[in-house]
Amino acid sequence: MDPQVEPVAYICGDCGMENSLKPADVIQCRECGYRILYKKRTRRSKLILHHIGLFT
Amino acid sequence: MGEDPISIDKQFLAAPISSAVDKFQLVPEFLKVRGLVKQHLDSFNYFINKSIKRIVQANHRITSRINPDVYLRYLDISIGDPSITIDHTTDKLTPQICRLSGRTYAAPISVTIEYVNQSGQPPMTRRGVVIGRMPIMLRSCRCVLSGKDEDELAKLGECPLDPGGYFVVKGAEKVIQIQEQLSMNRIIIDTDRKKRLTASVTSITEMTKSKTTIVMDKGKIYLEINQFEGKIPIMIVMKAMGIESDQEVVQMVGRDPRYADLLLPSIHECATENVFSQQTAIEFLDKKAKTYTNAAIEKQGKSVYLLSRVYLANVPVREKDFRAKCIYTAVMLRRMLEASLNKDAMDDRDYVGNKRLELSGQLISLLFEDFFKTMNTEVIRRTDIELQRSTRSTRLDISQFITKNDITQGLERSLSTGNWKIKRFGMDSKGMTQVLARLSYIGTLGFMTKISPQFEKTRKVSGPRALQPSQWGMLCPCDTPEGESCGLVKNLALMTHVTTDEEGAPLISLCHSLGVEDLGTMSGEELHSNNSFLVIFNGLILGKHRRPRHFANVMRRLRRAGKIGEFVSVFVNEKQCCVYIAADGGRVCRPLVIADKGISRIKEHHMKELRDGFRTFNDFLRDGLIEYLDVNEQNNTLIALYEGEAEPETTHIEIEPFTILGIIAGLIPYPHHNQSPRNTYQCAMGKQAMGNIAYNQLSRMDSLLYLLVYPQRPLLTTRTIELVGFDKLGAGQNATVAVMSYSGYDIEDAIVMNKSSLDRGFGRCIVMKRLEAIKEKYANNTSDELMVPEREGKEAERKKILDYDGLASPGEIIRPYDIFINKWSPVNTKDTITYPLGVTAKSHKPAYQTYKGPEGETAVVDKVSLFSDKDNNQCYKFLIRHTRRPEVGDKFSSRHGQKGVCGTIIQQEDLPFSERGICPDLIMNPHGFPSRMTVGKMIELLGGKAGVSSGRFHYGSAFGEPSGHADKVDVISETLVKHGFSYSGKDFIYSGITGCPLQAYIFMGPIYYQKLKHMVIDKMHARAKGPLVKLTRQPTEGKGRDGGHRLGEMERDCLIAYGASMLIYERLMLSSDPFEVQVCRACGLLGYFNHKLKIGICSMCKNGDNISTMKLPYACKLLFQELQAMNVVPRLKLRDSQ
Repeated sequence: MDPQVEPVAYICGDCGMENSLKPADVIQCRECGYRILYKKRTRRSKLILHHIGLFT
Repeated sequence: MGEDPISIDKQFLAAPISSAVDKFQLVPEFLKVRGLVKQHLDSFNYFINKSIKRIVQANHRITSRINPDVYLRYLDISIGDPSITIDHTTDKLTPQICRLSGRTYAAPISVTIEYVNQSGQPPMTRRGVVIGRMPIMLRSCRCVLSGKDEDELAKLGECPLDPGGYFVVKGAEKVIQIQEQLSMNRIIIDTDRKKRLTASVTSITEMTKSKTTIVMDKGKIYLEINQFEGKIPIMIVMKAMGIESDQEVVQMVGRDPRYADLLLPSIHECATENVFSQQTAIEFLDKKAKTYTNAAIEKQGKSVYLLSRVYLANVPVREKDFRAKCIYTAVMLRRMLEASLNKDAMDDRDYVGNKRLELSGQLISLLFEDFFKTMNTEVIRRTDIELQRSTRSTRLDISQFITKNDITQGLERSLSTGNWKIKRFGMDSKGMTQVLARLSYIGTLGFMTKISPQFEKTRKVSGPRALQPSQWGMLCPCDTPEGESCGLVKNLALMTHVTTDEEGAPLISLCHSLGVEDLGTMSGEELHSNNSFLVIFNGLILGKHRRPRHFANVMRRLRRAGKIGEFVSVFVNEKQCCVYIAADGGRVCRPLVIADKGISRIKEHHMKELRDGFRTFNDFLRDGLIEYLDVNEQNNTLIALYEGEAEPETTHIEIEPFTILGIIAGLIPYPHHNQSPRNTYQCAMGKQAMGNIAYNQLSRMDSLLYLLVYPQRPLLTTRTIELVGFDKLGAGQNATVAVMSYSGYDIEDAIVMNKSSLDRGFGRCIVMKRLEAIKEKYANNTSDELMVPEREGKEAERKKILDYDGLASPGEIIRPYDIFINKWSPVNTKDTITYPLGVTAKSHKPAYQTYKGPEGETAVVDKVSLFSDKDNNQCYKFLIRHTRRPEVGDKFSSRHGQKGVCGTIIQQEDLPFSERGICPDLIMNPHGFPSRMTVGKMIELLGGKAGVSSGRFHYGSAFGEPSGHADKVDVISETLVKHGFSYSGKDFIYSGITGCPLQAYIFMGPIYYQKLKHMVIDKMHARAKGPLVKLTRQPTEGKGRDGGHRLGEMERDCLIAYGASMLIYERLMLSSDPFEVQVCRACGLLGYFNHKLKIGICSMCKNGDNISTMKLPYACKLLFQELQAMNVVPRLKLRDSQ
C-alpha cells in the first residue's frame, strides 16, 4: 500500500469553502455548517493531456 | 430568463389587429396569478390554513375514561417553517437540501394545549408542543420558496420555472395525483347491472360515509343499505320516519297523477306487510337491521339509529325530526319516477359536473385526521393505564403522552409508498402518490395535471372512456394515454381551476334572506307547487323559491360583486325545477368573459390597463368582467367563441379557444390541422423527449437524468409554449428536414441522418446516472471502512480512479467493472468485537461497489457528494455522466406523433443539397404523410422555413388563425416567396451522389425534432452463455441479469409446423437446461448415479439393473419431482429410438 496519503479536499455545497475530512468526522462545512460536501475535481487527467501533448 | 409577459407583446403587436378586443393577454395574466399547478397549491394551502384547524377543533378534547376531571384540550394548531433538528440544533430546510441529502421536506406541527393532571388542579397551558412533522408542498404558503423572486430562488438552489406542487419525501419528489370520483352527497339517477332504475346518494360527513340506494324493482320501490338485510319497501321507511299517511307521501312526491300511479304498487306492498303506523314500521325495520354490539345504539333502537345516522347521512336530523330526510327521500323518488317516465331525466355518471377531483390537500387531511385521532386514543389509553395503576412512582403528566413519531412516520410512509389506509372510511387505496417524472420539463408539468380515475381499469364499458362534451375547456381532449387506461386518465386544460371547500353557513343564511322558504314551514303539497323551484345547496335541500331565475341572478350578481366566493356556482335546472348552489371543493371551473346582451364587458381600455400593468387578473374578477363557471352553471349560459360571433342571447365569451387544450397538447403547432389521434400520440411522446429539466438540473443529482446537449426553442412556437416556459427549457432541436426517399434505409418511419449534423451536435445527449454508497455503522460498534486504494497488485487497475479517501474522483473516466468506492465491511456485525479496532484482512472483507455500464463505453464521474443520512451514517452519491451521439436505432419524433428510428447515418457529401447549399439534417420518407394526415407538420415546416428566412418566430397556436395566434399558410407562403423560396416550400435539389438535379422538387424546411429517451445502447443485449436461474437451471431473464432470449410458444409453434425438430431440441434443451438422468426402465422413476460404484441405481427398486441414462431438460426433472411431492407419480416409459 502507498504510505504517502494525500489529504483529499472537499468543497462545501453552500459557501464553497475547502474542507478536509477524517474518516470519523461529521460531514459538515467548518465555515458555514452546511451538511453537503462535494469532492474536488481530479487533477490527474491534466497529466494525461500532457502526455498527448495538447498543453505543452 | 426574467421575461415578464409584457415582452410577448412585441409579437402580439405585430399580429393583425382585430376589431374585437383581444383578450389573449388574460391568459398569461391568469397563469401568473394562478400558476400552472395552482390547484395543488390551493388545496394544500386550504388544508394547512383551514381544514387542519377544523380537524383539531372537532377532536379538541381528550378526557380520561377513569377520571373525567383529567383531560387535555387542544387550543390551537399551527405549522411552522420547514426545519430539521440534528444534534439539538435546528436547521432551516430548503427543498434542494432535502433532495440532495435524502430527507423529508417537512415542518413541525405545533399545538397549544391545556390540561389537567389531577382532579381539582387548575388547568395548565403549554405552547408549542410538537406533535409531528408535516411534509410541506413546494411553493405552498408554508414553503420557503413561496413569494420568492427568481434571484432568491436561484440562491436556494431552486429552478424558477419549477411549478412546485409536490412533496420531497426521503429525497424523492412525490406527487399526490388528482383523483377523480363521483360527487358526494348528490342524487344520481342511474340503472344498475340488472337494468333496474336506481337513485343513489353517497353521503359523506365529518363522522361517517355511507351509501343509500333506492331501487325500482318490478314497479315497486325499495331501499337498499348495507346495514339492512335485503330490500326494504320505501313506504315502510317513510312510515318509520313519521309520514304515516300515504296521501302525504304522494303529495310530497308531486301531484302528477302519473307519479301516484307509479307509487301505487309500493303503497300496496307496504299494506300487504301490515305496516300502517310508525310503530309497526320501526318494528319491521328492527327485524331487518343487522345486529349491533354497541349498547347505546340498542337502547335508541337499531332502526332509528340507522335511519338517523346511516340513511342519507348528509341530511342532518335534529332531535328525531325526520322531516328533512322525508322530503329528501320524496325528492329522490320524484326524480326516479320522472326518470322512469322519461329516460332523458337520467343522470350521466360520466358528466363532468357529476364529478369531483380530490386533490392533495383533501387526501392529506384524511390521513392527518386519522393519525391525529389514533394519537388521541393512544393518549387516553396510556392515561387510563397510568391512572389505574395503584402505585405511581412519578406524577401523571398527560401532556407527556403526546407522541410525535406516529404522525410523522405515518404521513411519511403514506406519501412515500402511496398507500392510503384509513379504517374509518374503509379506505385502502394504493398508488396515490407517484415519483415526479423528471424526464423533461414538460413531462413534469404534464405529470402535475394528470387525473387518475378511481374505477378499476378492466371494465369493458366505453362510456367513461369516451370524450365527454361537458369536458370542453376543463379537461384536455387530446392528452390521454393509449392502451388500457385510454380515456380514463385525463389531464386538466390550461385554464382549469379546481375549487376548494367554502364555508357553507353564510351562504345558507344568504339564501334564506334572498327569499328561500324553509322546508319546515311547508306542507308536502306546497313542495312542488307550480313555478316554485327547490333550492339545493351542496346537495342539501334548503327550501323553495318562488322566483328562481330572479334568485339565481341575484346570487350571480353578488358573486360578481365579490360578496360571496368567486367559485360558488348557481345553476338553475329547468327540467328538475331546482336551483343548485354549489360551494364544495373539487369542482372544475374555468374563467369566462361576461357579456351583457352579447356585448363583452371587457373593452379595449381594460386590456390597455392590463398591458400597462395597472390591472391584474384579479381586478378583472373583482370588477365583474370575468367570472369562474363550473360545468353545471355553464348549462345556463350561451358562450360565444369569439366576440364577433356573439348574439343578443350570449351571456359569456371565451377568453381564448386554445385554452381548451392542456399543457402538453399546447406544444403541438397547428394541432387543429392534424388528425386527432396524432395529437394524442404526441401528448404521450412529448413526455419522453429529452431536453432541459430545470435551471438547476446539474446540481440535482437525480437517479437518472437525460439531457440534450444543445436544446433549442422551437422555430414554430405556440402561445402555450411561451406561457409554460417551454421556450426556456426546450426539449428538441430545429432540424432541416427533407421529405424525400433516400437509400431505402428510411422505410417504415425510419429517418436518414446527416453525419456532419451529428458531429455538430444534433441529437447529442447526456445521460447522468446516480450511484449511491453508504458507510454503515453496525450494532456491535463496528462499521464499514473506506480504505486507501492499492496502487499496485491485482485490483490496482480497477481502483485507478479512486482518491486516497477511497472514493472515485470527479472528472475521472470510468469504465465498466471499475471500483468507485473502496469499501470494506466487517465480517462480524453481530457479536461484540474485542480485538482492536482497525481494518485487517481478518476483521473486514471487501465490499467494493463497481460501475456497470454498457460494455466498451466509457463514462465520466461528474460529481461526488457526501452527506449524512438521518441515522448519521456517511452517504456518498456519485453522478456518472455519459455523453451519447445519435446512432442507428435511436428514436426521434416530431411534434405531430410521427416517431421514427434513425435508419442510417450518411456522410453529408452524399446527401442532397439545394441551390443555396442547404443540406438536410435528416431525411424523412414522404410515406409518413398520406395515412397519418398530419397536415400540421407540413405547416410547421412552411412556417419554420419562413421563420428562419424572415428572422421571426412564427406561431401555430391551436385554433389561432382567427385571432392571429397562428400564422396562416397563405401569409407564410408570401413570406417564402419574398425570400426567394417557392410558395409551396419545395426546393430545387441536387443529388449528393451524382450531382444531378433531382427529378422532383423536394419539400424541405425546419421541423422541431425531439430525441426520445429510448436509445439503442440501453436496450442492446445479446448473450451466448451466461447466468442460470438456480431453481430451473434455465437462462435468466432480462437485460439486467444478462439473460437469454426466450424462444416462446409462438416461435415454438412455427418450428413445429415447419418440422425443424432438431432445432427445437437444440433451443429448448441443449442451449437451455440439459440434464442427465438415470431412469429405471422397470418402475419408470428417476434414479441416481452412484459415483463410488460408477453405476446408476434406482432408489425405488434398490438396484441398478434396469437403468438407462438419458438427457432431459432440468425443468422437466423438476416438474416430475414437484408432482411426486404432490402425490402424483409420473413414470417414464423408455423405448429404443428407430
